[in-house]
Amino acid sequence: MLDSFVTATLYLADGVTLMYLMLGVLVGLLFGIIPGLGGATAIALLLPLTFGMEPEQAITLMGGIMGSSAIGGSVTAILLNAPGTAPNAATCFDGYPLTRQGKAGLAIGAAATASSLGGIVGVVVLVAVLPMAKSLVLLFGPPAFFMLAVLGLVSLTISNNNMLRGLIAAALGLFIGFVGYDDMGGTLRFTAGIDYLWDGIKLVPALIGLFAIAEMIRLMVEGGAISKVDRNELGEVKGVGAGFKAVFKHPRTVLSGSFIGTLVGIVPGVGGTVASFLSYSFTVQSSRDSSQFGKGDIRGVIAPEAANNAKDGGSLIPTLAFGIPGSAEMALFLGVLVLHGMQPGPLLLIEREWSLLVLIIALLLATIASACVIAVATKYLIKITFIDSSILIPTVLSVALVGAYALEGSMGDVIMAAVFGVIGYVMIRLDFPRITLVIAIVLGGMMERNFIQSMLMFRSDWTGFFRDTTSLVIFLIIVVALALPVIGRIRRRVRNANA
Amino acid sequence: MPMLNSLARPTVLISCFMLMLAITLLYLSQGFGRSSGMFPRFIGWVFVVLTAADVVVQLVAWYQRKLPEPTETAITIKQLKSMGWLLGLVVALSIFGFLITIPAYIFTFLTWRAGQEKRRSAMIAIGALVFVWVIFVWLLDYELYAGLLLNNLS
Repeated sequence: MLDSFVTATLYLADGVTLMYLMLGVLVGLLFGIIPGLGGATAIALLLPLTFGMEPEQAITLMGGIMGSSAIGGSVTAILLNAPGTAPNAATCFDGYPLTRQGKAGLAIGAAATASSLGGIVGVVVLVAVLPMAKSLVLLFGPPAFFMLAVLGLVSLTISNNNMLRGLIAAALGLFIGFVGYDDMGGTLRFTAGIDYLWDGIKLVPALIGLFAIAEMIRLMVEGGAISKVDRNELGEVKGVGAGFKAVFKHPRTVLSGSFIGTLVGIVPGVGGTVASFLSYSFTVQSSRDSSQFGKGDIRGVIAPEAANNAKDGGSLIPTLAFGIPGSAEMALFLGVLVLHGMQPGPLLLIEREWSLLVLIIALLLATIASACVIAVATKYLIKITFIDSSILIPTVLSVALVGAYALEGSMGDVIMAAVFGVIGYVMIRLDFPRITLVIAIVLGGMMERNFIQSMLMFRSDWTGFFRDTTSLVIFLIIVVALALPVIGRIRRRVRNANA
Repeated sequence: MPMLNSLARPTVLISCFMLMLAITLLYLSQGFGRSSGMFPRFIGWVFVVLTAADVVVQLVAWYQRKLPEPTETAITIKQLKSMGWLLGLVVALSIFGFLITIPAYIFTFLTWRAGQEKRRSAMIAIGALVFVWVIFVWLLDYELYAGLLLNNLS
């Protein structure tokens, strides 16, 4: 472990790698600041740029984005009451009132510092848990891995408003993953006689389409400036240093937020929004004097921001150890790993320990670097949200399609990215979550492999899934996870009917 | 007839379309061999059950008049136009290649659709072209597609 740590640190000390990290930080901040885009779009757009890089350089670039986009989102939440990403919504409750009181700098300083500290706690937990995860993963056989993938998909749909449509999107994603030549059975599946589809639906054009292009279509339809807030409402940014100090006056809030964020991050699908809201409500409930919450209490900024950034470390645990991504960003990151020949799972933890440490250190540096950039350059960065979206749309569309083409020099990939762009937009409009579709595409191969291996082990007797203890336990968790929201809904209806 | 018209809401239609898609995929899965078809058939059945449940949910919502209002025609036209701009870009890329299409597309989009000044549009278009060329051609050494037209001429 120590050897790997030294190797990773030396690798990151290289000028070129540091440049990639800073590029990731800047891109992550910009995409985080722009409401509606976020880290997932940034990763999708930059993914093609990594083709020619060493795997660790690609990891560093992506680490930069992941470590900074959440912090970027807090800036617009505080200054404009418009969260850059959904998890930053909880920051609006107290961040915006502080801006109205002329204390925007205090809020931004606190948000940036709390995010950094949260990120550090998340990474420390990740480093502590990964060695344990190594031995835990080895206990899992094909039936348990299959059930775990199902759990990943199910838990993602539960966090969605429309659970049924989330599950439908997951099933559709699995079918998209079936397209192409099946290595195990030697059969062409769902290719409709199109030669291009023999290799299957490629992940990168699909991701570029579903995230970057779909968002641009949405912006095209909605129109106007990216920020829907009047420019005159923008507050002055002064006193960032006071915000930095304020965080250290509330160590309990930082720690509780960070641990809530890390724990929530470990559970696939629950995500940053739940983490930040949970952390916010915990802080409100556990405070002796909660009268100022919602009116501009600095703890209301610290708690959600610490949780939001700490969840990245937590969500990397299932992604790296089991290959089960817990969020859209993690699904895209998994795509980056696969693209560079790294298959997440037990072997990755054992064979590429130093590469993972590169990611961990990159995440750590990214959270600190982005906090520094935010502290210094907020008033300049925020201006990007007042640009007319029509300038952004054709530029991002063009770059996205160049990226789709660059993968294999195939115009088929460009068409595929455009098709997935339209699918992504239709999904946004019809309330089908894109994240379950993407994660199903990513997990499809692993699920099928483990399903077939299990069926071979059980001689085609599916009840074998319930004889394997680990698999049975995970199955019961899936049943409970599916049942709880339904029971909750029924109870609410009964209560409403009685009232 | 009015009942049928009100039933033809996009959400109900989409649910029915998804059910048809699921049935088709399940049917196609029956044609694969034992190993290749095992998992698609399993997921196919799950897909059919889920989409059928969605149709029921939508029909119940329609019966209880809880369906969202249909999208306004103006928004539908806007959506179709937006997809048209994307389609136009893909077609132009196929014919003229990246290095000609990108500046031309950005310039046309900005002046025609967004109503920006021509000089500003031209600067943004050239800036985007320089960005793409520097990153993809110069730094990453990719050969960008020259388009059907130039390929045929050469």
